[in-house]
Amino acid sequence: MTEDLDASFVRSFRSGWRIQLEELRTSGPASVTVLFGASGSGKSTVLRCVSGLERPDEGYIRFGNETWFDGKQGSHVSPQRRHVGLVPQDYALFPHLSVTQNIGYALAGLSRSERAGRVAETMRWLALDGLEDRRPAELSGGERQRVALARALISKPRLLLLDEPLSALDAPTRQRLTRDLRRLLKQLGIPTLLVTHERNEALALGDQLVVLERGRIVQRGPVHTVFSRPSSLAVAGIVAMETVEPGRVLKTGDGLATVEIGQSRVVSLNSDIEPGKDVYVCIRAEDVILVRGAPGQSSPRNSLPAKVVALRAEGPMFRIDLDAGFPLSAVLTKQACEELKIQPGADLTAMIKAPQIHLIER
Amino acid sequence: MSFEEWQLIGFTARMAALSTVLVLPFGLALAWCLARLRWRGKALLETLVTLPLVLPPVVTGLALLQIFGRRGFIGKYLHDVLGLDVIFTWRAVVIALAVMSVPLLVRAARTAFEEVDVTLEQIARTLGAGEWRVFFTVTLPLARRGVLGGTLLAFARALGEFGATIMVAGNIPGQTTTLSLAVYQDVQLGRDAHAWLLAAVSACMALIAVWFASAYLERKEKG
Repeated sequence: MTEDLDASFVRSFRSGWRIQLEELRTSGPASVTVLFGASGSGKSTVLRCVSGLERPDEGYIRFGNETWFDGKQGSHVSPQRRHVGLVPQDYALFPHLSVTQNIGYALAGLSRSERAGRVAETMRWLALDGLEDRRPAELSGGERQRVALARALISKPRLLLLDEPLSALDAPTRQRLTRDLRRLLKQLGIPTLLVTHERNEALALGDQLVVLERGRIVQRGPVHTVFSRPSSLAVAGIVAMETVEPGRVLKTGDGLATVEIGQSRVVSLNSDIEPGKDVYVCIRAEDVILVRGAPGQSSPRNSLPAKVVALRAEGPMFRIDLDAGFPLSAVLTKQACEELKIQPGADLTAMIKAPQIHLIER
Repeated sequence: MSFEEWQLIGFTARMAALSTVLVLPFGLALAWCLARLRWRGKALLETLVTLPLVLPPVVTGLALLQIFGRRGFIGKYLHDVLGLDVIFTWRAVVIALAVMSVPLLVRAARTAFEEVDVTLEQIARTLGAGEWRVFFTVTLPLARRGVLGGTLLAFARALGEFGATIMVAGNIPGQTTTLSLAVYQDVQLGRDAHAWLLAAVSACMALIAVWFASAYLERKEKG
């Protein structure tokens, strides 16, 4: 039986700040639900309420057929009895305990030998061998993250809560570990709720996306759908206007990758993604250049025939939805729109430089 | 130094140590309540705990005399039910030292507890640890320097206590006389040289305790 989180609750603070969450759900084992929003949108409070460290004012939090919190009955299950694995933003490793003691903390009820066995097994699984007696202060950022994960996972939690799991890492480490984390979350088969304000993190790790603004859910759906088709200007502002389409790497070489999206192909810079991999292709609307007529000789690597589907005013700019074999967004000034005589049905060429196409491996 | 002087030193150290041991669980519980809980009456308790630090010790002694006397509300119970007399015995010495030194422990321990990141305690709870386990495996070990420093400071304070002790325990040679009471008595009787000797011993003991205490408290600040 799949157990999932189902939460609707209100948490208000004395400052007048209020979180009103409606039907936050995870979607089955091995699924990652990303709670996305700017800092201060209430994401971390949601995790604290779900883990039982904070108590909402009204509403309910259910998991599977258990009720963890019910405002009407006044019931509240303590964090000790929820069996939730929480990995906070800065990992919060116990600084006075060794790596082994940190990881084994949740196994207090087991015998010494049983505990040692489980800890060793988990450490091997997360490639932490050799760090047994180190203190958290003597670990690298990536190692700390894995120790925090090991500590949360060793007691086989039923729900995993990750608070910006990659934000404490430096950029190169983050890129490397994103892929590892995705693989790990898929392997685990535990429903995961992940909080982040980084688009890359959400795209690389998430299946479902829930956008939070000022304590309220403003949109939800599959990750790339929400990113490429924000339901409102507010959501577009949070996720930033961007084309996000699933694609597949066809070939690589010379630091470039050719990616197939729908019926089109684009060329982008490539660091280390291998041919055959599934990726999200991300293009910022600002980076799309539109030219009237058929593609000619030009420096941008990508010239795609594109038909205008719709256009609408957004402040001083026009947002143009194109069909380039896949849905593509562009923004132009009003003046440019008039000069190019852009209207629905017009045939244009969309040009994008290879470095401005961003690939996120799935 | 003579046998009697060694005995005096031993008695003073024993009394101070005993009062510190007694005050430790109580003081830590109090410090934890002040650091972690929010409740009505907290400010009142805070004031009460700090009071012995600023009241004339003689006044604290007077209050203890009232409470632990045979007609006092604790003293009466101890006398009638357990047959224990407190006033003018070594028990009064311990109580006086304990009450006079508890503020130092509570203040140091409270600060140390407040400096422990509550996120660590919360993570421990999500990992299944109950409140006692959280305290003994996370809070206390992380606050250990401050707690140890406060304990030593309380011990040092107890070693030198005078005003409250003389009120509740009197100055009975061989029974309730501590180092500081003996110094006072020597001066009263004109044995100045002897008073100076005991004063030097007393200063040495205090110096050692305070030196260790500040070593722990300081390293806490750096770490």
